[in-house]
Amino acid sequence: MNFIRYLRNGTLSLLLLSAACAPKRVAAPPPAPQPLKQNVFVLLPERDAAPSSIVVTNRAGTRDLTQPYQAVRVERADVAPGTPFTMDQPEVRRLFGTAIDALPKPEVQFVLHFDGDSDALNAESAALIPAILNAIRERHSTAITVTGHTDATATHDYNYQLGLRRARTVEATLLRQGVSQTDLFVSSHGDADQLVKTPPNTANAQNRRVEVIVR
Amino acid sequence: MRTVTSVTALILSVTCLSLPAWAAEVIAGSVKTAQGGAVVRRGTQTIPASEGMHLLVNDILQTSADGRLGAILQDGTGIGLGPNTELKIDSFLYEPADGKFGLLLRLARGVMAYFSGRIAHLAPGSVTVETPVGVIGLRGTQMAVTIEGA
Repeated sequence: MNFIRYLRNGTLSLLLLSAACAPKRVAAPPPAPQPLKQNVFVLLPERDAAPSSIVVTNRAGTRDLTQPYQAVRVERADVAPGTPFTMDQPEVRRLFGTAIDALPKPEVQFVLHFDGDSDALNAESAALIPAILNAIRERHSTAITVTGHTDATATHDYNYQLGLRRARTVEATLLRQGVSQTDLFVSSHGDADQLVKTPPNTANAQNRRVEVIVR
Repeated sequence: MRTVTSVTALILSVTCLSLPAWAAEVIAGSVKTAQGGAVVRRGTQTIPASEGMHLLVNDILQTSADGRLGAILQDGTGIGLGPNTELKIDSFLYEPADGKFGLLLRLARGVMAYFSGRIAHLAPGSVTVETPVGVIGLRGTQMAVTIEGA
């Protein structure tokens, strides 16, 4: 039962409430009024100002938040979310500062390109290794994803294996520099995840790559 | 009858897979910062949260009154927890090669900040945060929520 809202809606609602409750649980005492719980949802601005939104839904209703610092309070699961309002930034800090300050740095991605049908690091790719190691150290990263990709010049099976060999080359390089095996997540997408979409049997330098993501 | 048998076998195997002891450990993310009282509850274990520790699906992240915890998931999703907070990584599915994506976080109480990762960008609508008073659906978003109770 929607106790608080009925109270706010006045006498008629109260009468409806008591009528609805009367047949059931006659012996049960009425629930003690409880202080309102502080349940608040707020949309924060995107780093890149991309459009974003959240939708807050419960049994009683739904609300869209589409503007930065728009917030909504929700008293209970069976009371519809309130009217969205704009929360000032000091209040955002007061309510959410501890959690916002605990957010991690965003992941960072490096792309190492490879020569045609080669799994060896070329000079350009080798030059990126120090920056990758820096990012790993800076983040104290224990989750480094190494994913190999190819262009579409061979069969899918061959490309899967080539992508894997490329990823293994990068993995071996990082291992030699002291990165822990348990922190490396190595896989191949073969030619299934092309940066530049090409028809089959097409060479493309952009697609011959290993993506390293440091978290 | 054969269908029934195979369906039963399927249910049995799925049931077995869902038990922690049988499940292949899916690494969902890692702890980036832990301060004060911050633990990870994993099955019957309670493990002090430490920087770099890997997180698994079904882990419950918990902070006490002086606790803070920061984590990043394998798709780049960022999570910050303030004090007196409990968050479960209920499901995490990130298999870009197979086009499989999903993330469900359950915030039982406390205060959480979030920024979205690749799951939210690649499969809008597949990220959900459940709380005792309502469910949040997210699209490419930074947001925060505080939950005192239902």
